[in-house]
Amino acid sequence: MDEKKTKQPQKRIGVFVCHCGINIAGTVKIDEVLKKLKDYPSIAVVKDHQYCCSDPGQNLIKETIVKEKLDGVVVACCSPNLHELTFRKAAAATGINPYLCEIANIREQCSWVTEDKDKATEKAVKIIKTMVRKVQYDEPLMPISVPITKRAMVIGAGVAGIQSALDIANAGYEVVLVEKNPSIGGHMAQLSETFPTLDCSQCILTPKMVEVKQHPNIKLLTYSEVMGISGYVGNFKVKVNKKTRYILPTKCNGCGDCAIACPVSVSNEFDAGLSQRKAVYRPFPQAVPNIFTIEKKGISPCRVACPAGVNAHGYVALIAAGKYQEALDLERQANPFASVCGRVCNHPCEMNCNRAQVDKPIAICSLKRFIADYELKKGRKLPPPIEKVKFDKTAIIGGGPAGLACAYFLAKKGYPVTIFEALPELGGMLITGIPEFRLPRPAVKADIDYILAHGIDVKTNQALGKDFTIEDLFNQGYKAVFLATGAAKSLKLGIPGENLNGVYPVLEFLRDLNLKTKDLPSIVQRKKVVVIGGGNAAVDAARTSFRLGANEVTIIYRRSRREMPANEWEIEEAEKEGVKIVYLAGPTKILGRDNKVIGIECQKMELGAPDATGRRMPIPIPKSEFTIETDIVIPAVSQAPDTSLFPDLEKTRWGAIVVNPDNMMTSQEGIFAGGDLVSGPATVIEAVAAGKRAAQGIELYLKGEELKPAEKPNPEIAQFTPEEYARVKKAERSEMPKLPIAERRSFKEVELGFSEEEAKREAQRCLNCSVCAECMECVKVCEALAIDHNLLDETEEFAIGSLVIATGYEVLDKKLLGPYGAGKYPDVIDGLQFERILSASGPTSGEVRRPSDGKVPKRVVFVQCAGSRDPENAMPYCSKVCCMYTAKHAMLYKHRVHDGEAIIFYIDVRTGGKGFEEFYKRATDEGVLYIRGKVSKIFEQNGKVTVFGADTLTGKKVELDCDMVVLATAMVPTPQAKTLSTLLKTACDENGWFVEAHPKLRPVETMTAGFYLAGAGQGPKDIPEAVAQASGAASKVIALFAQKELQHAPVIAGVLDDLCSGCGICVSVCPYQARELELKEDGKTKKIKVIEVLCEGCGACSAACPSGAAQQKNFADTQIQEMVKAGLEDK
Amino acid sequence: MKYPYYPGCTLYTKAKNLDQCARRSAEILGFELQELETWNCCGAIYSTVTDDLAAQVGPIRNLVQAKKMGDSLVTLCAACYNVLLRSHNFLFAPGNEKTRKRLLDFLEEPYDENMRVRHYLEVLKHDIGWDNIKNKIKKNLNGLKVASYYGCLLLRPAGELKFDDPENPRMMDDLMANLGAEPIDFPFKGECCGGYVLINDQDVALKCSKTILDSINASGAECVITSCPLCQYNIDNQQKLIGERNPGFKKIPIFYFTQLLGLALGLEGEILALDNHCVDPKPLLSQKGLING
Repeated sequence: MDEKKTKQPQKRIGVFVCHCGINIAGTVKIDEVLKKLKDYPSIAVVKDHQYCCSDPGQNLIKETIVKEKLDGVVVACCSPNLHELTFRKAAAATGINPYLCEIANIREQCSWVTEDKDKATEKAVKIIKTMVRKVQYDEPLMPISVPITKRAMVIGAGVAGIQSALDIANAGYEVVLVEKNPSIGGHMAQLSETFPTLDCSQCILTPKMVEVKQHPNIKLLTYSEVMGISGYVGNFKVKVNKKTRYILPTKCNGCGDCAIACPVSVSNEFDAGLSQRKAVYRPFPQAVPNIFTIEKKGISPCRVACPAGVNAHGYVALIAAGKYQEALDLERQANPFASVCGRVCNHPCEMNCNRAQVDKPIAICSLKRFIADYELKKGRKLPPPIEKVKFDKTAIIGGGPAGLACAYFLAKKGYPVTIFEALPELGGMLITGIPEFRLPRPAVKADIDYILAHGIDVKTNQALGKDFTIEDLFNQGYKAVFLATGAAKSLKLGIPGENLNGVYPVLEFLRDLNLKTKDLPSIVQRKKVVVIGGGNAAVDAARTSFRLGANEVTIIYRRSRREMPANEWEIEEAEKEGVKIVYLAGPTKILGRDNKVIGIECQKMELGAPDATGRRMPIPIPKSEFTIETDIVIPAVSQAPDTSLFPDLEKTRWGAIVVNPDNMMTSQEGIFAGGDLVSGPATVIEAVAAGKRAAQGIELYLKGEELKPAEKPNPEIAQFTPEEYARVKKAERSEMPKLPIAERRSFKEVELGFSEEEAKREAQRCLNCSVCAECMECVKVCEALAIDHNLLDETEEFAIGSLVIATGYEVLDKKLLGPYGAGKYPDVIDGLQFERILSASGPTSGEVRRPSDGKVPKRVVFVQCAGSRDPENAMPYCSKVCCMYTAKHAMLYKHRVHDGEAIIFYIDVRTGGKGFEEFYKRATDEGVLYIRGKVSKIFEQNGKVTVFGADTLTGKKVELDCDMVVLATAMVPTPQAKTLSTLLKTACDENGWFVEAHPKLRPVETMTAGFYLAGAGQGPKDIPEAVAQASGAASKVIALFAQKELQHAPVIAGVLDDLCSGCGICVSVCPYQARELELKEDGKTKKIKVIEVLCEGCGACSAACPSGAAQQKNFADTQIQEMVKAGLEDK
Repeated sequence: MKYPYYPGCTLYTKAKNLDQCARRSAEILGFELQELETWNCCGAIYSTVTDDLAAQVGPIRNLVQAKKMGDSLVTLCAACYNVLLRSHNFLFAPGNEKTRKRLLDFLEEPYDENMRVRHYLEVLKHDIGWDNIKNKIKKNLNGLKVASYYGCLLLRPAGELKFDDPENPRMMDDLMANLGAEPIDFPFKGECCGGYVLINDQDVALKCSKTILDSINASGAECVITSCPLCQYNIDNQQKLIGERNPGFKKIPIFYFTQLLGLALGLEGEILALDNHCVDPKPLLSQKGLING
């Protein structure tokens, strides 16, 4: 640096000392300062002036620069914040580089902080000397040019966003207008009339909305949100997520047929929760764009839980809407066994139903039974067989649920299928295992007939191994074989006495019963029966024994009730029927006399540590044996598949057939397997799922296609928050009517089925978790073919020069107003809800009726400041618009209800706008009663709303009853504002409103260059202010775009290549991401590169750099050292 | 689990059933209320006069005794709960160092910030848990329609007590729901019953109590529970006078919540003290099949 000093010629510097009236001259002795500086080296001339910033002052400086041929200037005056720009412009006007003009702050840093004149004078001289030294070392700098992308983005399309967009577009620039809702218009579109003119809100807004739609310069993105931004003013890159409506905007003509067909109704946010809308909807008739939107919130848990992927939500929603055949058709797309599963499914869907968080889950299973029974009752026509379009035959061995399901799905696709069944009838476990009081034969037949109607060949009395082999099948031309022979081998107890007469393995017992191959009634009548086991088979056997006339039926289970695998509801019915259950006991010996069973010896168990399945192991308690007298013992201790027929197939360690779980193919090409045969005893729905997967696998195999991993999108499982569940009104789950116990000594079906009324009522309890249920009714009716449920969200990136933030507001959630009922009283509503009631297009078509019973309220109380001006409980600020809109509400109410009483409780009445005070007077003239006092409590009981308040002007308590209360709730920022502020890195204040650059003088700018504010997002305001501010923000954008290019201040940090070691510390400390490491041409060394337009000259890199390579222009380390030396000189 | 327990004067006398049922229920639920070895009246009203040190000595002496047994003090009377908790907070409020030193020096006992005054209901909800209580029910309350009246002292000042939502409290309602009863909501759950004003201006206090009772009757409840002997006195005993002055007034039985808790857990007979009520609850309970006769 010393070198530089001697190499450069000394600059001729002029010092101008400002008096600033008495601000400086009152404390600093100007004459002394001038004297002390006169002979200081490098100062060519010293002058003083009363007010340097004035025109004469500036002229003095300019003239002196020219006359004295100065190279640099120091103005000793106020803070550079105020006039650095002024004096630099003046200097530039004479031709010297503006960065060679520096400010010596002898006011805020000197004359204003002390009253000691001597000390102040001394300090002033030191400050000036320091700055003179700086100018000596200063280099002339040229501003950096920045190109500008002349396209603006406006975030939020309420009235403010719309106005900004129109103004910028009309000035000739492109605008991208982003709105998160399906339509533009914001809250103004929800209002009925606006104060003070009482214009119809939509009438004055919709012309602007249409203008936006038609403007060639405006690109409108609705149902979209900004999700990322990078860059700097004039050069932003903004990423927008365009949520899919599942409807093609170019095809939808807004006819509304889809909404009529949709069965799902949810709360209508446009009507502020006072009405319902469908899952496919248009917010209001004049929406822009005028197209429909399908709302999907992930996927309902019931659908995810079903192993076969049945659209449970869809069919429940259709039942709720009375569309039973459509519900059945939808169900059958995934599972043809509607009658069967509607009776015996273990319904994992219900176990995951979100309604359980409110009261009880929806009875999804029984609802399925209802639609299946309904079709039969009405009289059905079976579908015609599907035309065979494929020629590769598939053989299915086993006519149980897995085999039948596989056949169904293949036949639906046009494949020829033949089922080979060993028994004389199809059905497998459905007819041999499950007793008829749970699953009557006609129900099974109904489903099997439906399946076979699709065109499936059946060969009964054909047993694998006896009547044919798998090889035979391939020789006969079958191209694929699906093995679904089930699990029909009963496991033995392994205790002495198992071969005695009267020991009846459960599967044999149930098969003989169902196929009537033995006279079971005579075997079981009046006998004692003991069933060993805890699964559904055991409970079935027990309940069957009861029906066959057994005197005593006991189940012995080795663990406790909690571990019993049988369906809980079956166990309960068994107990009601008189079955005794002995827990924690296991059999040790079956006792016999004359080779006949006379009793069973058991020992007590206790539960130990959990085993591999997670259930606690039963541990026998020594010497705890006890005996139960019995005539019949039915072991029901699980079943296993007979895999001896498949010696060539690969097996697991436990002997189960190995299959690829995605396509169900075994180790042998063309041979598939599924159902109980592969999994061991499982449920019907799991068998159906296996059959379906096998059908898909077989189809791919026959086509010769590769099995691809599932590429479906993974939607989130829909859920609500605990608060949302708490708000749902509880409703009793429809109870399944059952046969009275007295009538159960027969095999009549125990469950009698829902009536139509019960079914509809139960289906209407559904919460519609994912909103749209994908039932596809809308697709069926859309003539424009505009609906596509497989569309995905899209992302688009825009090059943007400047942004206007117009995110608007929401109204405070009533739940924060505890003393006013926290939102639980139906007739205590907020201002926005009352707007909807007043609105001609609202839930009551403009008639003032109260939400609870629709009666016309004769006395309405309006409460101002509900949540505003309340720092302890809610918002500390005033929401500005409520006094005016409450006066409006009260007047409009009285206009509609001529004998109605309107009473307003207020703290103040703030009516500061043009025509506002006159408007308020009109309200009082028209008979609106104003009571000054805050309301302390509001409650509703038995149809009457009671308000406790006070009249401070008379000093009396006021307690009155009324029909409805309208709360003027506070305006609060939208929840998206916070996310947006983080994304944009622009500040929000403690209440969440966007922060302006200066509250008085810069209300539409932010501290971030290029971001402007418009509308209520910056703070509560009314429509005229929002519109004015929007035009203001637009003008800033236009001013920016009108420039050829932007100038960026050049007082930035650089890098001295020779000293830079490429350590990268400066990169991590730079808050503007203005520095990056660059690989040099030799491919090895890394050096820092500065992105000049991003650098704001904060100096952090300079401080952090260990080698001194990071230096700021005109603030280099050595320069500052010299300045310090100058300041510390004694002279 | 043992909890240091402060019964308070009234629980030893007029509100014995509140106390006894609580202790026996605790045993059944698997915890123990260990009464402080020595204790005195808490003062019953929290004195907001900041230099009224004499009023603070009483409650603080009890806290100091509790400290010898542990870090918490459980109580049942809403007034005692209110006084004890706020006295503890007062001792450690910023700026009260001198006062604290003076009080503790006077009592000549050590004490520190580590003390939680808790209500029995908080122990039930947070330490025992509703599920554990459900498992020990011997007599399900059979859909009995219960209105839970909390009164002020249990709920306010909400910022200090943090007991429950002061506008919409649910703790007793949830307990009752878990015992098989049907909790009934009404708008005056946390409104004042009249309190001490009963003594020097009976009419005012009766008006307060009547408003609450009218609201409860309009809500369809069959009985009321409370946790404050003073509230119980106002809304039970005063029903006689209210009934005399207001023909057509429907009387409704008032329980301590521990009586219904004990009943559900299997307690019977004298401990429930069902004869101690002004409005006889026995007809209602017997009609619901909860007691014999």
